Amino acid sequence: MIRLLDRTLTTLEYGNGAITGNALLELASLLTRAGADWIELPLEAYCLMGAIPDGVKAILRIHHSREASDYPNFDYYITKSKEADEAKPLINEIQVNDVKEIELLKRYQHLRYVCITGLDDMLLSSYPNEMKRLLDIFGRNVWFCPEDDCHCATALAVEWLARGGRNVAVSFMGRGGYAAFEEVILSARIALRQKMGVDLTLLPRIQEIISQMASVQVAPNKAVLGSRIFTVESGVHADGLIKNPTIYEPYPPQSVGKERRIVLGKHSGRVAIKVKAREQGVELCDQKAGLLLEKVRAWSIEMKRGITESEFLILLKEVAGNEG
Amino acid sequence: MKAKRFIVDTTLRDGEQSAGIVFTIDEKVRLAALMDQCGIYQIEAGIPAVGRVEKEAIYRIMSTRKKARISAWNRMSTEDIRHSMECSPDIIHIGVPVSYVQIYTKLKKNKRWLENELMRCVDMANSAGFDVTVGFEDASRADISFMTNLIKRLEAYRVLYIRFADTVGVLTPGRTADSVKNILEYTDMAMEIHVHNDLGMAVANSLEAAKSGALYVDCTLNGIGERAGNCDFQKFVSVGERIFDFGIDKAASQELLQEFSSILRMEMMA
Repeated sequence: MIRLLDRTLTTLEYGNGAITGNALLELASLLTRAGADWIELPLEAYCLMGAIPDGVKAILRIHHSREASDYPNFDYYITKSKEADEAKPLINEIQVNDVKEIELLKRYQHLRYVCITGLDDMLLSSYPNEMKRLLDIFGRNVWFCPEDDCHCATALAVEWLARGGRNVAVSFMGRGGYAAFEEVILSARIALRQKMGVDLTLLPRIQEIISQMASVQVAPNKAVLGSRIFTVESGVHADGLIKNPTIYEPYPPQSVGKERRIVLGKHSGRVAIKVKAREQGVELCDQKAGLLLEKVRAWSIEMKRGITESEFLILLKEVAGNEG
Repeated sequence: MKAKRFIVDTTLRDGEQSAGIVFTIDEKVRLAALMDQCGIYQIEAGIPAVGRVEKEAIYRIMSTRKKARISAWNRMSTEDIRHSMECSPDIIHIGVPVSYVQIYTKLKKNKRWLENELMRCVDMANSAGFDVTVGFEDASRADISFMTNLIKRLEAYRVLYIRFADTVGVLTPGRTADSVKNILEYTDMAMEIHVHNDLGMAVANSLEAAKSGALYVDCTLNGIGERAGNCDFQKFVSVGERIFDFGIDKAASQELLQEFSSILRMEMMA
């Protein structure tokens, strides 16, 4: 059983009025329903929220262990203070910037719970051995929060879970330089057969709430969330998708709240042309489909983009005349 | 001394396959020249079967290149390969679907047919004097034994290397390493890795493949490509060069990336 700690709320900038308690309450609930086992809250967020929503398990970020007594409603507290406090469920966050430092972590072996943050370069080393060393030192009560400076944070989080680690810390879209929540959850599903029951159709709504609270730019091809990841033009891929979507899709678009779209352009093929024509009630023979394909490609090359629905209708009329 | 690995850039082929992206001939020629200048080993310049404009671009890239090897992409089809031969590229790349879902559901054929057709295509390109690379499409969901046997047969031909393609982007670093090591252990063929970023692990999987012995690594500029894109050239090189020598000139690659950004901006505005 794997456990995800989501740190998205700690990556927001508070105090500028853009963030409301209600939005945070909804965000924490949605992240939980989408697969987060724990939500890390900074004090600013908790003060705005006033309470922890039903069904949400929260971890409060504090500066010193003594602050925990002021906020007694939490199962865990997370701090960078490196205090050993047997009376409180304190997760000590330790920043480790280089795999060579792992050996030195033995001095923290007495701490009950730790979160190891950093190790962005771990994939350049023999990472299975390094992960094993971390588990040997701290046992299973260790959270791993890989950072993304080497663009490998998601991969490290997934490998950690595949190699006996139980807890990882992530953030939505990898905000703050961590592994991306949505990528780790989906990888857990596809590669590890875990998190099968969570509702990933909530991801677009989560993205929307965060974009209302912070300046967020999502590339159109961003893994899992991008607006165009299920838009297909190439003939080979469109043909395969029409026959059986699993040929070219790693997971169904609907499972993450998206839709597949087949568009036409320079790289289209005859099958997609026929399907698009059929959608307009026109059955094309091979010869006419070939002719229309030539026109679509020429138009796309001339316009330097894919062709729009209305442009397709014009070209279809030219080729098919009054057929259909 | 760092181990050598070679960058294969597929911006002009897989990158351009992203819905809505079209490069003009001039843009392709300009980008290829800059890729060549920055030390990219191989440029996958396009798909000749797409038509006259694509062929002209490849032909012009061939006539202006200095060091990079230029390859043309083909489906496993003699007709496609004829189109490629007209462009006289250095390498004819033949893509062959190898997972059972692709063979039986997309092609609606069987393994025997696939093997024979592939050998026929490779032989045709070889006989005409071309170097060939073969791309195993959907290799990450394919049977390793089947791929190994195919490679054994291909060893009799002039095939430079096999591309292991994670076509749907479902690999993890651990599975990448296992697959590459397995194939290298049982065959004498050099390997190329081609991954997609659907789970956000393209850079990590490419690194792990290179660490496991794959000599050639496919990238695209800005990571463009089908769905969530391919392995991002800049990200991969900046991290990978800590342990590998890619022979990439930093200043020239900055120039390439700047030119590409300005082309892509125009693309988005079109």
